[in-house]
Amino acid sequence: MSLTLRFTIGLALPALGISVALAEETKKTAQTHLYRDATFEDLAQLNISSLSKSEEKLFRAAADVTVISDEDIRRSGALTLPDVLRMAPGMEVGQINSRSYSVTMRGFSGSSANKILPLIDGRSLYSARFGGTIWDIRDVPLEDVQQIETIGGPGGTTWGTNAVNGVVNIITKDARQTQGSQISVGGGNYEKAFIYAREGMTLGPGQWLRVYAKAFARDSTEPVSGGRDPNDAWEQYRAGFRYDQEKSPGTKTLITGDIFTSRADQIVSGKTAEATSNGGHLLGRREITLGSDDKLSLQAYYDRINRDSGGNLSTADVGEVEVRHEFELGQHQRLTWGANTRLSKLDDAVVSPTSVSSFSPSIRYLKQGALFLQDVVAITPQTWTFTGGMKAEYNDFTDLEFLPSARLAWTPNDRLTLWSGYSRAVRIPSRFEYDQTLESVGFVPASRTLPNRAIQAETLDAFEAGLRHRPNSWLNTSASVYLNQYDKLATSEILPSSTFVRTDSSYQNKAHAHALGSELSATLEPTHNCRLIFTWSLLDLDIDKDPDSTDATLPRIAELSPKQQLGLRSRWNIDKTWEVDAWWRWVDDLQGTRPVPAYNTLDLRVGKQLGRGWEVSVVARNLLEPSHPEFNFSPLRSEIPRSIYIRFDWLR
Amino acid sequence: MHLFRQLTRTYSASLRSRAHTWRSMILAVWLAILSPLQGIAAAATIPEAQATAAYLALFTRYIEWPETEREADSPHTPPPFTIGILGHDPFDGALEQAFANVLVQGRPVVIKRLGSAAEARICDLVFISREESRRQSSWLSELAGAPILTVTEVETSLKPEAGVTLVREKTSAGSRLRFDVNLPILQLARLKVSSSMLVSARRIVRPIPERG
Repeated sequence: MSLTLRFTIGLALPALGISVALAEETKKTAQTHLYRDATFEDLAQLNISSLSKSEEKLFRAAADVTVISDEDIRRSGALTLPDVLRMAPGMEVGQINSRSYSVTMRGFSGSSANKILPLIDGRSLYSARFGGTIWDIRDVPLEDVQQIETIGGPGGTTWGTNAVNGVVNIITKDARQTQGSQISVGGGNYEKAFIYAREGMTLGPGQWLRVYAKAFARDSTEPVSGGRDPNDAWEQYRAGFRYDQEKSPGTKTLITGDIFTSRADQIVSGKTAEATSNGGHLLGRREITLGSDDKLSLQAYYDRINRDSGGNLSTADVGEVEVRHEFELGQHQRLTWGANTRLSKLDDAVVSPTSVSSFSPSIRYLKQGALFLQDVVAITPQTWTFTGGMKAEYNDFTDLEFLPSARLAWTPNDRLTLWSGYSRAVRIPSRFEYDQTLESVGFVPASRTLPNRAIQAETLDAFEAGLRHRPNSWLNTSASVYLNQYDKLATSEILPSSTFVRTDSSYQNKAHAHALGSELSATLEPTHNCRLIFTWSLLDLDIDKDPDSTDATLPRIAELSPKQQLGLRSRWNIDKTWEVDAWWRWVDDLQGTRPVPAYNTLDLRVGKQLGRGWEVSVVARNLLEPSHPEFNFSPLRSEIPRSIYIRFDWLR
Repeated sequence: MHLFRQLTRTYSASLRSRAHTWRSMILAVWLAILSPLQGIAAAATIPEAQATAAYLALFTRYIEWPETEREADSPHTPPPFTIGILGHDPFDGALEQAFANVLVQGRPVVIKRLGSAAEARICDLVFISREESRRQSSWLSELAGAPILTVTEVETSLKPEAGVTLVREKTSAGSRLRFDVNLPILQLARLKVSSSMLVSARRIVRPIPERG
């Protein structure tokens, strides 16, 4: 090493260190200066950034994260969670009938899309029974939602198995923020009637509670041309509470709970029938601050769902305990470790005129447990951040699964972030694949699906990259690309035990897939009272089965996802009390044996604040056509109608 | 390394005293060279929460509160000057920093996070964030007349308005924060505003002059 070089390094390294210390010191001095010495003239000259700390954190995140805010939700006019999720770029939401939706990200659509993991305040909504989420009963009052984060790509390192293509993280409002009263009522031609009532109260210093009740009735959808009445009207009643305690700064307690009951018309084997569900949950969390930047959190919940979907009876009880500890290790590392254990009790019975299903064991106690460790390293302060993590999760079906992830973010200045990452996710088999024997009755040849105890988890290796750029105060853009490599996808294979009169099959891991896609969003805020949000997504998914596979349906799942989707929303406050919102969407066609044509749709909302906490709004949805189909899932076939409703809100 | 540490300390000390010694000038040059590396140059933009907190701190210096019964009762141990954040808290600790070791009207400052207007009636200053624009008018009507400085972030035509409204203004360079003053509301609350604060207001609502 030359003398000059050695000299330069010798000088440069301490200089860099000192400049960091200086920067910190200057920042603090500047703040003190701002609060002590600034005059009105000084303050009026300052350039302000309207981003909050969480928005700032989001801007620097090394993942494809979209946040749907409470204001976005309110002004969308949407009344169900799946309709709200349509706002996130890359989210595929296809309404099947009045209550059923296909909700997924990055492909693998279907009535039981099994590759995204939704959570409400850390409580998993994913069903270990069939693999997927029953969206019509997994509801929460939208008025109480603080925000919904949708995270594209694997989230296994943090959230565990089944967070394969994405995570939907629903966070409800602190009870302190919902003090006072709110009553909202409304109704229309399709959203027949809905009511939400909330009362918030202070129980003592630093203790807040809200209780709520919610009910709605939605009409049936329209029949497809020449088809029969879908007979799918439904209604639901829900009541719940949230308690928050923060007696001393940093120590927080949270308790939430709800109960619900739901009733839906449906058609089973050509005959009108009813589906009923009920259930509830109780969740508690305690967050303790052990020191500056040293946080410990303990969470436990119990969740129960009873469902009778027309002869298909099931009860799922899930209990989970989780501990998480986050702390700073030295100056440049933030370590998080956690452990959780979950026990699910799954009890199923299927009685149907066309099939006989039996489960062995008849009641399954499914144990899961995991350990995880994550380290966020500031390679250079504020500029390069590396995040590495690993979760090891045990489950009774496939034993140990490893969920690693490595991500790198580069934020050269506060207007640009470039990020990339590799992560691995798995979907573990459901009880339907592992425990069920399903026999069809009355067909020749008869068919029988046998359980497969050797079935393995589906795996995904995901490579992602993206950027976020805010060139000025009125434009915010985000773009991401991903390459997903799926292996060991579950297929339905014909077994050698098949005869001329009966076909035997079971689920095996005989397919793989790759997906290439991109998501883009741009938010324009030309003035403070107008906001435009543009979204676009692209997906190219190819599913290939092994040469010896006899599965006929899995590769066709790729055809159930639109190749492209476009969205344009505007939020406009025309004056101090009037709000006008519009939301246009275009969804590409679905191909395959039961194609769904591409569709264009437009929602409009006009709201007026009347004073003293009174508001009125009128929402028209799916304005461009009398009705349109969004998803074709045999045997359910229906079209989503144009609809209008009026809504009154009173807040105090 | 030791020299640098010493210089750092000297630099911050000199900033505090605002003494322009030769040492601080050398350091200013140093900073100018190093700052692009660390992105300090971009720090010309500050988080809105900090600007809001700075405004609130400034308002308390230019507004005079009426003496309350509680104060009159205990002239030697004055009750704390209570600031209430009603509903959503956008500050992320900035308000605590702004009022650290500060006396307002000779009283120590307490900051509370509150959920309802009823709880807020014990406050001297109540801040309602932009996020709470829908409940703003009903809260303000509950607080009207009490000796409370109400500060909001959303302009509204609904009555009553707040005593002071912070407003974002778009500029060619980005956004800045200004404020509007509603004198009738402040008078109703028996608060006296210094004329040097009014000069800097973007807009002032004045009382309708009485006739006769």
